[in-house]
Amino acid sequence: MRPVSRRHHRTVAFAAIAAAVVVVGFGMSAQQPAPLTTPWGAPDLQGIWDHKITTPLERPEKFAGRELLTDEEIAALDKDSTALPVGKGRDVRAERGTDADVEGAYNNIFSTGGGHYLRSKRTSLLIDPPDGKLPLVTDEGKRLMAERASNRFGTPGENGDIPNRPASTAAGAAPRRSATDPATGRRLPYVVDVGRPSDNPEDRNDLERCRGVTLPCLGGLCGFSRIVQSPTSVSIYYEMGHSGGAYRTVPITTRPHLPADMRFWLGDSIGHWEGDTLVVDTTNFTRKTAYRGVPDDRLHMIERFTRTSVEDLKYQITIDKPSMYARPWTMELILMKADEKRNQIFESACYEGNYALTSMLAGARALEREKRGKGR
Amino acid sequence: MKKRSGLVTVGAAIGLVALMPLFSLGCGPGSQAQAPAIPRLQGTPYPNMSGVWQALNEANWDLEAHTARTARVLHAGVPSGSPVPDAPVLALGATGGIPGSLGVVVGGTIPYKPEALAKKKDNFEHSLARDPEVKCLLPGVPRAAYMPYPFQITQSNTKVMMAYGFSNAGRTIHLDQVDDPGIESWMGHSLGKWEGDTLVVTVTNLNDQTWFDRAGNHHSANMKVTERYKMTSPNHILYEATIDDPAVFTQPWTIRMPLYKRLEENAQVFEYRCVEMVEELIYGHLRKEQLVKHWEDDYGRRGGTLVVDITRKATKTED
Repeated sequence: MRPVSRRHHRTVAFAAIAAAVVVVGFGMSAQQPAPLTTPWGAPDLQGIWDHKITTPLERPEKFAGRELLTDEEIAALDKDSTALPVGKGRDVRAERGTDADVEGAYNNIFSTGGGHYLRSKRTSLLIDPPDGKLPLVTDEGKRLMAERASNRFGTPGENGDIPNRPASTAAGAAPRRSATDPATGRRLPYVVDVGRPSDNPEDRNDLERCRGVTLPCLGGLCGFSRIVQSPTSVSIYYEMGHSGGAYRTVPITTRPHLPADMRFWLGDSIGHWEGDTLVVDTTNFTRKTAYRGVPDDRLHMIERFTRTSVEDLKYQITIDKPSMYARPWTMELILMKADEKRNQIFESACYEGNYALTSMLAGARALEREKRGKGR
Repeated sequence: MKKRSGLVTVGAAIGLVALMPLFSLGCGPGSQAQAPAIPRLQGTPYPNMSGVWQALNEANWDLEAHTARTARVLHAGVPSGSPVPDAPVLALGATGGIPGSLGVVVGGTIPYKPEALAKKKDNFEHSLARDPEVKCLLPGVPRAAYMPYPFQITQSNTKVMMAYGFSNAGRTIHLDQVDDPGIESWMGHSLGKWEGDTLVVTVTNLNDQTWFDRAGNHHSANMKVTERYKMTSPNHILYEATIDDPAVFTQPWTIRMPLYKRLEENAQVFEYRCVEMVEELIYGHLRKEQLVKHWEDDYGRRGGTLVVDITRKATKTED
């Protein structure tokens, strides 16, 4: 791994060169293309992009009123992140090969620990509102979030799709997380869902069911994406191992969005170029996905992809979710280019290998049979 | 790994731009009055295949020549009659038949080794239960190319991404140098190069779980597929795939078919999210309260009422 501070300097240098080259490149289209330009003269967004990022969505209180970190603060945070693998929370490693190491070993694969992932000087991903805080949640949004929280367990976008299931049917208790085996009372080396039913596949969450990548695909859980572009389309593959991966093709076109009654898991995406930036406008989502906890088919997402340097892709996302937020908001991520030759992005095939869902359902049925047997 | 042409590197591609006028001469108006000009990827000498494509044939039913069949699952029928559709597909009626085809295998027959042919016949008899397509498993190559769903090609000078409608399947064809992934996968590892106007793709690292069609044609995990995509007009690609798998076949064999460009305005590939569609099929028997166990509908004077009762139980390993 390369030290982050040096990367920053290099990034700035590359950005300056890239900007100069792009300007020149457009001016001499008949001649050889510039390095960050496709042969047909468009900005080149292609590559494997690493979505891991340590910048928080909202601005921490200690940085209130400040948009950017200082170089010293970045160095300090970077030092913190290198300490993570042996350090914090669910990433704690125990003696290798023991039960106690299961959770830490597993989480380490997905955590940002040990990497130098700070690629932005920003104190928050949020760049609008300018205070780095999410806009006010609407009354409707509060009601929907409360409904969701009282009935379902799971982080946003990961919920099963039986809404408003009374908690009383869920094995007698509201779903919660626990590190204790509910059957034996034994302490477990990992956390399980207690009280979350396994009566039906629909009871389990989207990740367990391999239901697929949801948009926006962000952070470490999203993993890597690959962009390939042509003059008429931009195709993106999201690896997101827990979901089965997804291929998303964005046509470069001026056509209007599809009719409102046509709804898609990944929405209807339309792209156009604004200068060096690819702008992708996506609507026509379903109510099956729930970005930030509330399903909303009125979600309107505007993404802006700008190649800022050889190693970085600036990725801005505007979320317009009228059921939940009083106004649209925008975040900015710097995606990192991964090594093309090593080509470390893989087929997810989540559903193809999903023995877990079968086991959870079969296990629940076996427990029921056991219980019935005891009752006789 | 096979050494590939230097033409595919970015540097060489840039160099080739200077040669563009030479490449253009061959396909300019007037020079080949018979053949329509093939679109070129701007700034490169290569044909531009970006767009939405689809096979229009019966290959996904059976690669080999066959006449129409009554149904996918057959009951022997009465001694004096023909086989009839069996219970699982009876209600599909005329929509459950299998259309006939000249076949797409060059030479007509797949050259199976005897034991592999026996396996194919057994697969055919049990195709509804075994066909990975029924279960929404990733289709592999070459099957993805001729399933009855369109697919999107996004082509650049260094990569070609193919996004298939079925089950969000897809793959990236590398025209540049990449390391071998070192593992097998459902859609394999695809390396491409241009031979003139033909994109030649070598696909390896495939698993042995996929089939070629609904007829039970199968292969091993050592299969190598060599695909050839040759644009013959702005709206046609001549597609060939040569199958090299000595464990299963006595010699390499080839399928050949046209792929057609979808010409509708704003043609696009729609998601076909079959993982959700087959949850009842795959997990229904593990529900606390089983859902699909009885079905009946009124067939009126032409067939009375059709009643289907289903008994589902866990397999041994799920007990």
